[in-house]
This record gives sequence, structure tokens and C-alpha cells, in this order.
Amino acid sequence: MCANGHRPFDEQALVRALRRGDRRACDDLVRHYAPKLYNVALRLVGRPDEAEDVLQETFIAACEKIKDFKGRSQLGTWLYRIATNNGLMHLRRRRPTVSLEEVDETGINVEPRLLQRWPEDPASAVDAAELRAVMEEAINALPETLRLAFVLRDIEGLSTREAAEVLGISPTALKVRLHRARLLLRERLAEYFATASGGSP
Amino acid sequence: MSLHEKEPCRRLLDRLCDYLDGELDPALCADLERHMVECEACAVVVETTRHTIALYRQFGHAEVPETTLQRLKRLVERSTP
Repeated sequence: MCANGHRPFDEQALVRALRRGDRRACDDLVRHYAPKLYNVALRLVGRPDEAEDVLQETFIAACEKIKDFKGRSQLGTWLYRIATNNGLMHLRRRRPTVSLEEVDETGINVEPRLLQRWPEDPASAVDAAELRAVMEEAINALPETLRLAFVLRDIEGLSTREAAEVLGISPTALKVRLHRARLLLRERLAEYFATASGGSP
Repeated sequence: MSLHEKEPCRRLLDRLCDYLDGELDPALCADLERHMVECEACAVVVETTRHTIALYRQFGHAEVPETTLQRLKRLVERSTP
């Protein structure tokens, strides 16, 4: 097993090493990308054991298909796409109608209603564990399409173009989903801060 | 009247993502910022949406458990040709 965790990350060198079937490269692939992919997989399927299954399938597929990776997108974007598709397949086993292309969230009202200011440093103004629980509940309540757009763009920090590529949608469609996700999460947190900091909603 | 019904507020809401992500052209950006000086509701929506994103960026990343990481490494090693 490769124990060298301090070499600088070089994506192209990693791809070349994976194509040669270098075992250490597979280890590097897991070490570098598992933390990123796990967050997306868990946010999509909702259960740690299933998120681990999604990652196993993703890394095995990536090692098998690395010869097909053309380098037109970044390796990370390609892996996010494989992980997202695998996660979606897991979800479909539970709910056969789920789809990431279909926009099923248009009926949700995202208009901002709570318009009070929050504390200047919101995280320090309230109980940390309580805030994290409200944040978890809010993000889990989003439809998958919105949740994934938000996770990829705002938590994982992908660009609009990269996040759109992962989800197989246009950048414009990605922005629409992101807008809705941000406003829905804002509303839920606004509700929390209005009560937690002594104001009235 | 809701934010969606007032024209300048609607314009800001429609461009909220582009504004927050710094993807607006400078003239429109300046225009929206002038509006926010006069409109408390829009200023609050922008500020609290910015807080929302920052909170999730800070706390929203689920860490991969070390045991999962080790299992994944072993599995990938075994499946490398």
C-alpha cells in the first residue's frame, strides 16, 4: 500500500499512471478523490453504507475505464459524473421514478418571505450542534435535482460549467436549480435564526 | 406586495446567483447595488443568501470515515489488473 501522502497532486501524471495499471496510482486516486466523492454520494443516497457502495463502484469503474477518459474534462468532473450516476442507480432501486434530468421542482415556491437580518456572524450566535442539525434537515429536504446542484457548486466548489457537465444539463439549467436551492435553504435558515436569536419570524 | 411583484426587486432576484457569483457585468452590478441601498428587503435577501452559502461551505461537507477510506483503498488495490 502506498503511504506517501505528501506528494503534490498532478492529475495528468495520475491519469498516465492509472493507464499503466500502476497500483500506487489507484491508491492516490482514492486518497485524493474519496473525500470529495463521498460527500456527493452521501448527499444523494442519504446513507453512509450505501454511499460507500457508490464509491466502491465508482473507483472500480474509473480504474477499468480510465483508457476511455479523453481528458476533455477534468478527472474530478469525470469521477463526479460516474459517482452521481451510480448514486442515482441506487436511488432508483428504492424509487424507480427518480431522475436527475427531469425538472420536478418547478411547483415549489422559492420566493423569500422572511426578511429580517441575521446576526452578523451567524455561526457564533447560535448553538453549533443545533445549527448543523437544522442545516442537515434543510439540505435533505431539497429535491435531489436541487440538492446536487447546490452540493456540487456551493459545497464542492465546482464551476457552473463543471457542475452542469456532471449532471448532464446546460449551465443555464444548473443556475436555475442553484438559485432555487439557495433560496429554499436561506428560507429555512432564516426561520431558524428568527427564533434562535430571539426575533419573531 | 411581494418581492416578485416589484420590478426592481424582481430584477435583483432574477440575477441573484449571477450577482453572488460575481458573474454580472459591472454596469448591472452597480445598478443592483444602488437598488440595495434603497431596498432593505433585497439587501437582506442578498446578505442572508450569502450567509447561507458560507455556512454550508463551512459545515456542509460530510467527511469520509477513515474505515471507509481504508476499505476503498484495499478494494481498489485488489481490483487493479
